[in-house]
Amino acid sequence: MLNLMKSEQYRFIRTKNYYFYGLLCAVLMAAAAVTLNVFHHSDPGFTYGNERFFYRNVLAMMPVVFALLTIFTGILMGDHKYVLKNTVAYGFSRRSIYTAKLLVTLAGFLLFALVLVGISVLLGSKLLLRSYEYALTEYCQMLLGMLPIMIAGVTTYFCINAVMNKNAQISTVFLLIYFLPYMILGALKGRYVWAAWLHSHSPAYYLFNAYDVASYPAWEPWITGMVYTVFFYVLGLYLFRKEEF
Amino acid sequence: MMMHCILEIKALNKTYQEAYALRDINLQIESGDIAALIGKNGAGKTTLFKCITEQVFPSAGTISLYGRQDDAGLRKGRRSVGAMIEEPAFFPDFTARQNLEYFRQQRGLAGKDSIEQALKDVNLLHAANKKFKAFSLGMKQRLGLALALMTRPELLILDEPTNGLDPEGKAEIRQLLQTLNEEKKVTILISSHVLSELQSVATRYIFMDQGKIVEQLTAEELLQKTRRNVEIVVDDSGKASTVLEKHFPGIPYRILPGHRILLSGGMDKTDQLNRVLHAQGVSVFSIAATGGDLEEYYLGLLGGERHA
Repeated sequence: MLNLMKSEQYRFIRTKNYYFYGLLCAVLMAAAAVTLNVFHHSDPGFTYGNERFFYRNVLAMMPVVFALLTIFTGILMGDHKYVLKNTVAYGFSRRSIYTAKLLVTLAGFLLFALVLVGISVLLGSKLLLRSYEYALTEYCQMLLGMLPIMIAGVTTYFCINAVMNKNAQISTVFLLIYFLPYMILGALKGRYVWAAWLHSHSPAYYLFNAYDVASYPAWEPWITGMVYTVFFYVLGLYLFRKEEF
Repeated sequence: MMMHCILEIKALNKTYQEAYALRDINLQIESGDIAALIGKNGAGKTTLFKCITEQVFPSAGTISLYGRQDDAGLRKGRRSVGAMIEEPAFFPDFTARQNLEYFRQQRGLAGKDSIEQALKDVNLLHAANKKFKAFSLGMKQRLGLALALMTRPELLILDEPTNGLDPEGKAEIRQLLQTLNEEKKVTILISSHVLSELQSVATRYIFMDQGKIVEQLTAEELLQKTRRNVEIVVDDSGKASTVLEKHFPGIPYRILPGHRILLSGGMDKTDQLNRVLHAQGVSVFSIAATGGDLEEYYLGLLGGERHA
């Protein structure tokens, strides 16, 4: 399996879109920070040119970041599943192939996220005012709470990819899995207790409330994320083991 | 060289919903064989190759590689198999060398010599740094073959390997396969629609139709079944033709360049021919039955269109 991971790593570090996507995210964050900085210096009444506001806005974008995960995962996985027939023919088990690809994609995602968080911290601390001492600590804590949800997202995308080929289809199903139940449960939560409970424990809930640290205990998204990760890993593996090329 | 069975297939079936793609396949491939799989489109050749390499799962039956049919044994066996089945599949934005490097790392092959050697073997070194998506069909085939050869396999499974190649390329690949078989003792299981090409390399023929193996023959058996002519090489073809007309008036013949005479018939009279020609003062250098046209035999057995 290590060889499989090595070759996957060889492939993804040569995938140009990975870097383009990272650059795009960094540019968008820089644009937001620079805009806040410019307004802060040009308008004395502008109260948002501070670190905390910037970080909270990054966190408020979590549902969008999560949706964009489909692009990211698509880039890392590639839409060249047919190439795997060479790997299968060489005697690698489907379980090893699936797990190795997933682990490398998760590692790629973590690296990507780490770099982007680093850039956002750099932008916030260099360009914006420090109005609240614990802004950075709070930001890091909230981001850490989002990590298991993001990992669950990557694992889910992998699972759907095991049975579908087109990125557009995979992305649609992915978004439906995460956001449709959230919306339905939101409509039902006033009538049923169980619906309210499920609603406030669904991944989308944590994404939409990522900036609001008081709305849920820190360990909750970890449990939800792990449940989703394990479920979709097992399901994806089951489906991929039946895949024919 | 002692022959041993490296691939054995017993009662193999593959169904898609209700339809049989393979039905009761029983097959043994001995080491050193160049076994040609022959059949029309949809006969099941590619499905059989895919079952052997686990790209698809058999519905019933067993496959045994190097004597092992358990999952772990089969997977280990597949490490000694090089396969090119259907269209070669590579990353389009990678160059030929990068694609092979990806698989070299995946297969844990030490050193990069294997890549260079494989590219050299298939005459693709000049395009090593060209992206796969810019390749012609023939170049893609060559790269597919390079990947199959990279691990120095003991068994090569090739599905239409010369598809898209020019005549020169076809001859090169044919020569390469013969060299691999003769010098490196690589066993080859190959399918092609160009039967004349198969006939020049194959030692065994496996005819398939509608998912079933309808006949298996060695090259000698094919020759036995199809020979119709006798070719005689003599010192004086003019004198020999006079003798033939006098003593064997019922056998039509043609005089060919190189003091050769081709008789249409007389298969059972080679001894007599030899004796009479000698007695009449004609030196006979060789006398042999010829024929064995694979395409004709295939058309007779399975029907279908003649290929160029």
